[in-house]
Amino acid sequence: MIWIAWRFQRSVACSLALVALFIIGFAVITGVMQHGDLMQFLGAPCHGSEVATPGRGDICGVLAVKLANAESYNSEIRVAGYVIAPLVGAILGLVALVNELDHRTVRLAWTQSISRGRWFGAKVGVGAAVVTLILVPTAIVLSWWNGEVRGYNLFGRETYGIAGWDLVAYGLFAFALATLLGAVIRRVGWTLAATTILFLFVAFVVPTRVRAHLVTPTVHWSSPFATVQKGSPATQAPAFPFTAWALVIGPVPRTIKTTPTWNDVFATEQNTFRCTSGYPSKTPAEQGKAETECDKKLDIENVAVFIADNQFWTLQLREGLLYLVAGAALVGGAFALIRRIEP
Amino acid sequence: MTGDDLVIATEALTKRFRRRTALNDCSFAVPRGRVAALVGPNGSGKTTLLRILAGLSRPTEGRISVFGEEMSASKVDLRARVGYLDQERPLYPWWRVCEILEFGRRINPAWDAEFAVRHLSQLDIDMKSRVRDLSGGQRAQVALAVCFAKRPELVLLDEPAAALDPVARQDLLQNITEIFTDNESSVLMATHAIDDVAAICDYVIILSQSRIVLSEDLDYVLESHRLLSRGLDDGVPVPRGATVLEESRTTREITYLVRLAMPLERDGWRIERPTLNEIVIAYLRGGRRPSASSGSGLDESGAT
Repeated sequence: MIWIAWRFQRSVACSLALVALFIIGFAVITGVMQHGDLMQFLGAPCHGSEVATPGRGDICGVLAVKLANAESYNSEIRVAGYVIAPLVGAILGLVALVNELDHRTVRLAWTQSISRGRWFGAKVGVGAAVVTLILVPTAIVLSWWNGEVRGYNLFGRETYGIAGWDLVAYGLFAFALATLLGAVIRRVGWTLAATTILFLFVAFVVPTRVRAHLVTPTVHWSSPFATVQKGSPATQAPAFPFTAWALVIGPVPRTIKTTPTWNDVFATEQNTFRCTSGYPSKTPAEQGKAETECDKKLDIENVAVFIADNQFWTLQLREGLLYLVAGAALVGGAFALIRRIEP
Repeated sequence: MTGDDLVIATEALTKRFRRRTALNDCSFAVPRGRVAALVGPNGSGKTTLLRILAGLSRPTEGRISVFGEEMSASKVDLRARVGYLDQERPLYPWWRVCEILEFGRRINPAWDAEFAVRHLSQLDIDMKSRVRDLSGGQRAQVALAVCFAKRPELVLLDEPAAALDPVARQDLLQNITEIFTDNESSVLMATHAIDDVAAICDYVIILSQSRIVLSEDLDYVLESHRLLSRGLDDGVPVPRGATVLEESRTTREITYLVRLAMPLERDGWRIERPTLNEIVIAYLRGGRRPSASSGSGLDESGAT
């Protein structure tokens, strides 16, 4: 049965593998070139500065321009990285199930000496294996490209989804989504449309509403008075690692019991504003003094709530598992439907 | 007839698709070793019935047994004994013929690869051809080869000769007859081509308006129906034991197609044997089950 399932998906799987290979090849070639330029730019004599070095020509400027120009195709790689996982998953999901249901060729398979369960298991198993085989090397190369080559912040909005193993999880989720929707809709075109819409919905909701809750964030408090400089406002944000994912930054009362949110910050800023408006402050110094007084009065400190970069892989693991569990549930639903379908 | 002698038995079988009733209270049986024809007009429920028998569909009400077992999609062992040729010939268009046969070999334990290759070679069908490049007749033959190479004990054929030219149609029917003779299988063939029935079948089931109106041995059907004719003014009543299925009039004569429940006395009637075509059309027009009791099936004014 595995041969049969593979025979169904062979041409599409090979085409998608070629697309992935093209992305991998492009990322590797540009990555190696950029990495060399970046190392040279960061090392002597440029030390990360594009100011011309006497006697060396404008080598640093040229390197800076090359690195800046590389951004144009870097964005293409990022877009390709975001598209490849759902593309591979959805297309193979369509081929695995709905293509047969739509063209009614299941009538041939389902009237042979094989159970629908075995047929479904082989089709979905082979499809999921192909998705994994295509996306694992893609994920490895894109992670290397993001982290090692360009030194991007892995938590960045543009990089998180194309670094780490979540790329594979996205692909498998898209595969499962297309499988279930295919069993419900039974038309290739409509299934592709519904899969795209639902995947985009999930891809919007998870990063904005779910991801931050998957690991416990670090809460870092700092006194506003320690950082007060002459003439500067008292509510200065505390320092936190550049590579961390900042969730909330701002002033909140130290007395707060729960993890601070942006709502707490906004409420505190309003309270501070109301407080300072009671002070006569015409000059910046007077204004700073008023804010300091209010901060003391309201027991305000600066807080930074962030997910440290050492939690990147924990977050990837949990989010990936979330997608995989959801995907498994979708496949289970598709199997339940397949047993009842009358083609 | 015992249950062991029956390959198919249905009891009050009903299938509804939302508001439409495809099969309504159908009860019939097909004895072992017969080539049975399932005859009916388009939309009468033939395909629905075959799909239920093949395990692709479930009845809404009633029972259906194949080889004495309730048929369902989950009964792989039972489905292994049943071959099914779908009306739409659902073969994989991008596959080569040899790959289709390999597909059959890998999922059918009793697969007869030699038969499939021999059958298609005899028809000059290239094993390396892709299915989409084959003609309609060749595609039907490939589908038939897959169906028969499975070595089924019951073969369900849905319009096997549909959309074929007359030569291809004749060849296909000939092949079915030969294959059937070799295989010793039972066959249930849905068709609305009555010539096909006369050519290769020995049992007939007529479906009309989603109901079974006849299910009998073909020879018996031919023997138990007669055309009775008399002059319009003769006033001779329809004989006892004859059920009128259809009446036709000319300016001078009236003719009844009747089903006989007992030997017929002449009583002034001119008696002729109807063709199968005439019998089937009478049932399809009437769309009603003939009464086993004696007397006319029509009302008084029409029968006398």
